[in-house]
Amino acid sequence: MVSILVVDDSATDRIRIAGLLKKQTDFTVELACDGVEALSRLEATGFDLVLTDLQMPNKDGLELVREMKSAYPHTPVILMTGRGSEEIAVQAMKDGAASYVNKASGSQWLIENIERVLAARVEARGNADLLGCLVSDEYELSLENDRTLMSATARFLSQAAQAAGLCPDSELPRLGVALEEALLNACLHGNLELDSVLREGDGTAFSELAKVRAAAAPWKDRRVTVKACITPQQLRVDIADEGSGFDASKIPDPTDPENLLKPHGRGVLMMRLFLDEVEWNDCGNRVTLIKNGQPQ
Amino acid sequence: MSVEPLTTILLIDDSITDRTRSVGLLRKADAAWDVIPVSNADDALKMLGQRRINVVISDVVMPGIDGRQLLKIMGTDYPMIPAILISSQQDDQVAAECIGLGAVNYVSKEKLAEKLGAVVKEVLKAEEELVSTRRVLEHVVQNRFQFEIENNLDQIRALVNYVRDRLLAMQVLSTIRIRNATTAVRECLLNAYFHGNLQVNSRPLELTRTEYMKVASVRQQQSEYANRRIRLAMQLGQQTVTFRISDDGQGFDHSAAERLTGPPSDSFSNGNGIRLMRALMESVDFNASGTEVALAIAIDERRLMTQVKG
Repeated sequence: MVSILVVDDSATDRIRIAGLLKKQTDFTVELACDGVEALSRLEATGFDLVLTDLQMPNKDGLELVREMKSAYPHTPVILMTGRGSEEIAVQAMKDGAASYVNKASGSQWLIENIERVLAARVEARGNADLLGCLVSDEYELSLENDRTLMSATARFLSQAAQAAGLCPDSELPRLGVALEEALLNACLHGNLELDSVLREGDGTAFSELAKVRAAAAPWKDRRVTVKACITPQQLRVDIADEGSGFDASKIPDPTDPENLLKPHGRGVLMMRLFLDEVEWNDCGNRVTLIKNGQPQ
Repeated sequence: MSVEPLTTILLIDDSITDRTRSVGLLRKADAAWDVIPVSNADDALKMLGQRRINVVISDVVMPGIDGRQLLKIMGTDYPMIPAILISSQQDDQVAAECIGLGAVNYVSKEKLAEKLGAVVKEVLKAEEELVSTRRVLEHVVQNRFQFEIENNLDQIRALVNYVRDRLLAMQVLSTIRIRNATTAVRECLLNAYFHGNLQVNSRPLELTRTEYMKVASVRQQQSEYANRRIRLAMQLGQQTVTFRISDDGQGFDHSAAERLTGPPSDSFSNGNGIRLMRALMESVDFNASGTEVALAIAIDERRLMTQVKG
């Protein structure tokens, strides 16, 4: 049986739609008269599908669609209206409605839409199940010395970690920042051999020299090599540059909050704060970063 | 450089008056946009296969392939390219349908002058992140992923879609060859499901299709068969994409499969799956026991190599 919640402030419409749906032998129908009541019904019992009117007092159809998208992302909502517009239709679909039905379109159209949405729900569940079956996703990248490419790569890797279900969405920005710092380190300090001291002041000297060296030998031929292995349990990223390395023991003490305010050493500090493991090879031109997943 | 600054917009409208008007509106919105006007979806699909397009703007009602059908085709073959639909019909139902089919926006022709430029700008802004992802993907030297799924047709379908999306994102095979590769992978996963894990027709040509479908539905309810798994690994290297697909069945006599050559045809009662895989891929190899298949297809572009050498 498929359970459907019909939400409409007009008693006439509620009864008419419920009657229409009850003709289908495999549907069970319950009623609510506005968005607020719909949400409390959803909290009490789950439904397979919600069919809601647009204009209602106490939370209208669009608001219900938006709230359901975050609170009940797996329950599809069909928005119905007799007085819609193209703008409202586009908005409803973008905000997460599974379908939009103009009440003037007739009952057959409504039933077809319900069936299509229910079929799509099965497919969506298959896709969600699939991500739980990921064993590993591994990348090797070869990057030229461009700061925007480093930022883009950091974002890409954190999104891949998110897709693998490695960490909650709230931790993603921190993961992105830590990866970006490590990549920028390899690019700016490793390959381009820029000294952090140049960053003091307004930093123009630093970015000017970065630009010059990115286009000049021997710096321009150096690459940042990234090897990332993502599993649902762990993200492991190796970042290697072709510079002469550095003495990892000379990094400012990460436990001293004073160092947070200084331009140099700040990146390493962020990496240590946001990741579970940060380790350099002996000559300091390769760093291994590890972020562990939440224990299930 | 890897980033092309030029924005190319493909405009499809069968009415010459409307087309000219839309081109004018787009040029007015930003003179730097390169607008390619075409009069039908067939020409548009040809253009999509040849050029890098940033945004597609299409009329809904057209003879031949209409706007909705074009959205469906783009959803499979060009899911990364955003499409805006325009129509002279004032119809909220059609607008919603277009968004449901994957359009990023819908503008009625009546409001074109007021809205088109702004809508395109909004779409381009939202695409910035996608462009940055694409740029990272251009620097991928190797990618390998692995899945272990249940013996379940819904998961097989989802996995085939995942493989297709990854190949599309990596841009190392043409659209047609991506279709070939995903078809072969699907056949191979279905083989693992039916012949491998459910052990129906473990000798090719043993049973007809209707007979073995019956046996399969019975065995799918029995835990000794149903609890078996299917594994897929895809490896994208510098010259080839390789898929390894294995099951938990008892293998099969693949010497019988050696005879299954030549193109698939309706005149064969079965064995067409393997014939199809052989027709679509560069190589199809079984391990000795027949529980694992390796499929390989050569990549079209050498871009990955040139990136490595800089």
